[in-house]
Amino acid sequence: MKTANCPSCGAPVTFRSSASLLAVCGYCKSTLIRHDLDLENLGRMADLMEDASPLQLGAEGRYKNGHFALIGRIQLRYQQGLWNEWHLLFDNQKSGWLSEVNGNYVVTFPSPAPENIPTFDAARIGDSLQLHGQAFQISNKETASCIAGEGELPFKVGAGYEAPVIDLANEQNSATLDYSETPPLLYVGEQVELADLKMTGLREREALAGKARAKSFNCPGCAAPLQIRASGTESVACGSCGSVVDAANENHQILSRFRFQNTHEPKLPLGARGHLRGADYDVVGYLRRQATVENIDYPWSEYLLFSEREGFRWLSEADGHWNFIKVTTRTPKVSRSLTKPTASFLGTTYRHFQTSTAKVTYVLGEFNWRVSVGEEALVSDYVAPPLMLSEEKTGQEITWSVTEYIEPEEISAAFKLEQPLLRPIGVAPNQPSPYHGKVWPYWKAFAAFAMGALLIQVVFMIGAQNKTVYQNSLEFERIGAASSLTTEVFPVSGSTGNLVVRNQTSLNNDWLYLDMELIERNSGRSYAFGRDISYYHGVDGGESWSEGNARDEVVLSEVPAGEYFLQIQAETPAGGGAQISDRLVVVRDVPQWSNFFLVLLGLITFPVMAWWRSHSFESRRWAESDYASTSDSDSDSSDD
Amino acid sequence: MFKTYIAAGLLAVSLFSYAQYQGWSVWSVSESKPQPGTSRSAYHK
Repeated sequence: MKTANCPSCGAPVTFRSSASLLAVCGYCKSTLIRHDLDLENLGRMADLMEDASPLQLGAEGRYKNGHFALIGRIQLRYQQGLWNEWHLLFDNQKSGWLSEVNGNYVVTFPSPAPENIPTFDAARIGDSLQLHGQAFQISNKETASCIAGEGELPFKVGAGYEAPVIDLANEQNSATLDYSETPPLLYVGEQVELADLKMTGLREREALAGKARAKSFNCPGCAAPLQIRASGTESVACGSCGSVVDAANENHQILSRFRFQNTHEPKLPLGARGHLRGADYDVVGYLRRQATVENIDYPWSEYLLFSEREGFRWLSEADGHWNFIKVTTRTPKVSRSLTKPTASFLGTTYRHFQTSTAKVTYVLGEFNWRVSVGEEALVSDYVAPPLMLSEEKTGQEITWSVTEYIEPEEISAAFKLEQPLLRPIGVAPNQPSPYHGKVWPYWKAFAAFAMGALLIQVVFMIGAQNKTVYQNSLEFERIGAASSLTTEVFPVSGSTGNLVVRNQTSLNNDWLYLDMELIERNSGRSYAFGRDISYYHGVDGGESWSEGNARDEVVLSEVPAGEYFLQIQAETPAGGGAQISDRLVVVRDVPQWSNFFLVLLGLITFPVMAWWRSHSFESRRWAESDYASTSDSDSDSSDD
Repeated sequence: MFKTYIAAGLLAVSLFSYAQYQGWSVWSVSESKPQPGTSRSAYHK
């Protein structure tokens, strides 16, 4: 640590890092360049723009077991807004950077740039680049300009200093190429949560509340009152005249104007405050977007939320379905297969749902970028209910958002709405299935029942008598009239069970009708049944055919033990000819399969119904996707 | 509904077991007639 006196005001200026080249005097804001022991004054540093960043010089934290302090800061502006780059000094004198934009934080460290770096002009959004063995995708290409700096910085900066930068990301890491020097400077790191850095020395909550207090001014287009509630607001849309006003410019210039036929009433009023997902949010902006598919417009609403600690978040609403959205600096890994692309992110695989061009059609309130009606983005959605990944691609950047389905009741409760929100219509792409996890238990239960029924069937088959209690060969004359006969008495033993009567005839293009009655000799209990037996066959046009069967079998149920005989009245066709012979066999206790299949059929109805409900829900979900013609009925879980 | 299924399944398997014991069959066609007078006197061999 080295200390020198500011050449402008004499205040002590400390250089904690040996890598620091520049320091801004904390008292007079002089920009001081270090030359060994001397300090050169380059003039007064421009003022930083007010923001609600919880970070400040001197704050300390921990990253991967390393302790660091915030010793410097650069505030930069790019096309869509502002961000801070905080200079970190670790205890081991290692330098790093903490990028802060819209509540997202990325820690990066200087890294040697490989030789295959494309030029700034040649780099394209979406291009892939190998850096230190990892594949990165270019997600943003900007020429940022420095607004101001403070504290210690390892290079010379000043207001208006331009830095062409390219941001890259993959599923795990982020990277930045700074083309302000030759060769370009490479910084590689990862997105972090502020809470995980275990920061101390942050700005007091009261100071942040003061920064976030609403600022009012009149619309330069129609003098309607406008308010700015969120720090980081770049533009404000006037609901009276359609002017989009530059919020960063104190003159509040009009950036654009749009015409609207109808005003849209947000379901969450601007200025409403709610406690959602562990943080307090203000509703600061509202916009309407739509996608047009096959000449049909599909509109939806988006609400910009602002939290002092969490930064900006979004709520989207379409047909009563709500989603909570957080922008991520990471880039999921997309796998483009022939059938359906997937995106993997933090251990979850998302399936491509649809790609469409979303256009902004109406804006109201504050936005953290210079919004304009008519701006378009190519949006690709990937779903893993209740989550969804959305990729938004414009000419300048690719932005990924992580979306989570949220029930309207949670929204109503969070914002204490007086009127209930509309009930959802249809099925949202990432709406969690109410049948999730409820199909498989039915199939498991069915399997258990089927095994039980099979066991019972096997037991009865093993224990069945299957005993022939009577058999005889009968002959019937072709007399064209009925003839009757009575069999001998035969015993039927065992407990009540079935009796199978089989007739194996010699019919050949002929018929035989048997009116049979099984009678118990002692009780007189009888079982009457008629059998119409016929068998015809031939050749027609070279193809053989047959109809009927010369064999017949009938099952008599609940036949108790006893002494039985059969009374048979046979009707035969007229015309004489050979007798019709009939081998009559009566079998006791023959195992039957019909009941087994019947009970299986009955038992399978419930799991089939459960599967059908789940399938129907998923079909309705995917009917709105790009794959509607071949709607995927597979559940997103392993239920089916 | 799952509890209903479990109850219905146990009932169905129990009924199946009884049906197998009684020799019931969906293909049985007989009409049982208890003690008709004419039938009792039919056997005369």
